[in-house]
Amino acid sequence: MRRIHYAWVVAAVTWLTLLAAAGFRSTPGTLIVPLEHEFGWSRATISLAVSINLLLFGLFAPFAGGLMERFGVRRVVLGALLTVSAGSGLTVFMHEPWQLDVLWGLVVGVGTGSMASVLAAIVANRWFVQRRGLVLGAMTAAGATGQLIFLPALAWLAVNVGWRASALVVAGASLLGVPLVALFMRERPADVGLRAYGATQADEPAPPLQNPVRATLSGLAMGVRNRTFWLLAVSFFICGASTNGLIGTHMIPASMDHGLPEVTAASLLAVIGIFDVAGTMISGWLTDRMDSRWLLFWYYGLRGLSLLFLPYAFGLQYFGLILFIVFYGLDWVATVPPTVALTADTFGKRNLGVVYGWIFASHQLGAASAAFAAGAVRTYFGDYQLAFMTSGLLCLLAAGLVIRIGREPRKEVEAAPLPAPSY
Amino acid sequence: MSAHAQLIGSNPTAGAILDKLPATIDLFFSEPITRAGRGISVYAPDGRLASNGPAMADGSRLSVQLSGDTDGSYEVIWTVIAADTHPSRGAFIFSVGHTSAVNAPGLGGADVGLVSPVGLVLQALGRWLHFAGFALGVGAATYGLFVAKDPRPMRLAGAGVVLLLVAEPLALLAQTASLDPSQVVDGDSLTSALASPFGRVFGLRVAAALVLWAVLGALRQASWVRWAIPSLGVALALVDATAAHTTPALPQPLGLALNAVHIFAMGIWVGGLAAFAVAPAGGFGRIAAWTAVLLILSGAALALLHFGQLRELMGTPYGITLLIKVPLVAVALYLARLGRHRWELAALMLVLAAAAVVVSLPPPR
Repeated sequence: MRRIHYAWVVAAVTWLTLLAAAGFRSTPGTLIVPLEHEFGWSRATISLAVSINLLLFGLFAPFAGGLMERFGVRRVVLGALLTVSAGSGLTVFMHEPWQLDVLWGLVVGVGTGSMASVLAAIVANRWFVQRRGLVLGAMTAAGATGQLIFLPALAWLAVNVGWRASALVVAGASLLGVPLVALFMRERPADVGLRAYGATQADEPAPPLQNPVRATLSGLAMGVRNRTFWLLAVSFFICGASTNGLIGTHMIPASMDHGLPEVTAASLLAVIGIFDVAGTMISGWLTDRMDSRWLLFWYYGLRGLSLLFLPYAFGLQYFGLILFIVFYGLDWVATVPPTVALTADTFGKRNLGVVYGWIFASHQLGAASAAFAAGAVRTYFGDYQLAFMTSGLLCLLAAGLVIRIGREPRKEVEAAPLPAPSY
Repeated sequence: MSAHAQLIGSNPTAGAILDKLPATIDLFFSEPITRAGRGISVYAPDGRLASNGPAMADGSRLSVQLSGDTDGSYEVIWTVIAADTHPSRGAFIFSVGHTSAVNAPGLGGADVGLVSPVGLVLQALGRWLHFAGFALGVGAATYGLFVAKDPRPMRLAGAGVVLLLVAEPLALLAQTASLDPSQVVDGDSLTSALASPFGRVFGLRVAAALVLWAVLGALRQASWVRWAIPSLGVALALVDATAAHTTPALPQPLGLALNAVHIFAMGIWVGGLAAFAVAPAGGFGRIAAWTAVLLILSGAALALLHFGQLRELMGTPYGITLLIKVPLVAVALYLARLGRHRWELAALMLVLAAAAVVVSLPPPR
């Protein structure tokens, strides 16, 4: 019997970690109402903690990349699991709003930010040459799956047992991850005497260790001098704005504006999550086979057209909305595998963690801006039409940006020969 | 079935003298409309607003509730947008008990073609830039890719994208300025303009310009994408056709197709000519001749369908502009025959300007 390549073990551990991290991150949403009831805090007070959490989740990504290059993936992930566990567990004892800001906002934000998209990008690129995109797609989809599994369960716990129970479940699940990661996570294929999966040549030696903060900032400096970085960062900003920011935050109120009950609207969003899993896996598989720029061109172009179609979809009632949801769900985070592939091709595996971290931070910044801007548009104009139209047009702009990424990406020594684009 | 909604009746009627103020006022238009801004504003003799809230549109009827008990003359000001995106406005007076002096802001100056003069100028300017952008973006690129096989005209196509994008904010401001020049950037006026059929055309036009830009970038990667450019041109011509005047006496799809053919042929001829000036290539003469024939035939068909009687040509600003446009086309054709292509292009730009004015004016009914 052939032994399973160790890369798959690392991928599985990473996948579980990402699954759990996505669940942890979605917890604060289920806590808002119970905390209001118990402590009498206003929604604005609690939202502040959620905002800090979201902001750090995005902004900590490049630093997490720097830390992983310096101290290793295993140690950073272990630290992050312990951090989340402590942050979540200690909330049981809190009685002041600032404690919520520190624990959920700061501690859990930094902890989950260290186990996000950057972790997936680094692991997939270190361990896989063949099937890199597919693995990355699966790991990215874990984020959506995690929310789908954890969110209803934690909400059920918060309602039926109490919010402390859901906080303790998060702390416990996080602790369970510690031995798993400690035992099975390895830094590089060379550590277990292997080459990366599908690699024909030995891995390049590990880069010299650097101060993680300096590495993070020099990664940014390297990025801003590069045209491809800007094209990827701006298009990923638009990606975040048109997914998490606009649809994730405002789809439910927008559907309610058009007379759909809240439960129906929320389940529509859940259906987007299911199609998202399929779409991201397919996108990863495609990234292994096709030119990433063309994939992004189609993803953004079609997403833009579907957003422009959305105001009519509300008019068509269910049929139109279902059409939108299937289409949009397939496209939700499908952009991640090609974006990571382009970042790795342009900046090399060594700089991937940090540079992609900054691009991912731009994604979260886009999400935060759109969440705010769409709310402001709704308040000022009385409906969402302008917000949907603008983000649809921005997606078309992104399609134009990604197709202008330079034709000759930096080839890496061990990169698999890419099949010629079939266009 | 024409463009530019016109008021064909109301309850109370213009000039009526009533015993008491009715609970609602209904306006009836020549075609389905959406309200622009408040839609209907009724000013009481004391200058107070007697209409409550924005008007409700139901097909071609627009109504609003009234309240107040002052006797005297009331002024009704209406602002609407027709299904083909054209704005129009008007005012009339009715009285309760007895007539009196009206106390209302009024429309502020005489209207040209149912809109304010400054609005008409802005509308025409926006359409002119849009037509020029269409010609460069679609026509020059098609010439470069299919006729000359030369990258030089692609710069013109980029300029066309810029023109298409600049034209749209201008068209939006023209929409609000046409109805009330004092409230060009008023939030409510802009919102109702964007919520009307105009908003849909606005979004689709900006989308077409951005897709064109994306496709121009994609051309560097794969040459089969060139087919997207004429296809996009056809799509944009159809969008433009929905914003042109509805053709009377023709089923709507046929009218749209005729308008779209007219616009697309214009783009190929004018844009191709501009590109020819940058990168001359043989074989364009035949294409230019065919598109010119298509342009003239479709234009003549549209003109004949709009004018039941030729006598109407002289009477309206629409007719007069059309009478200026036709000789300009003849001049352009003559210059083409002489081979003076830069002058031909200049003449065609004037033709486009005339076309932009024609589309902004209400056609005779």
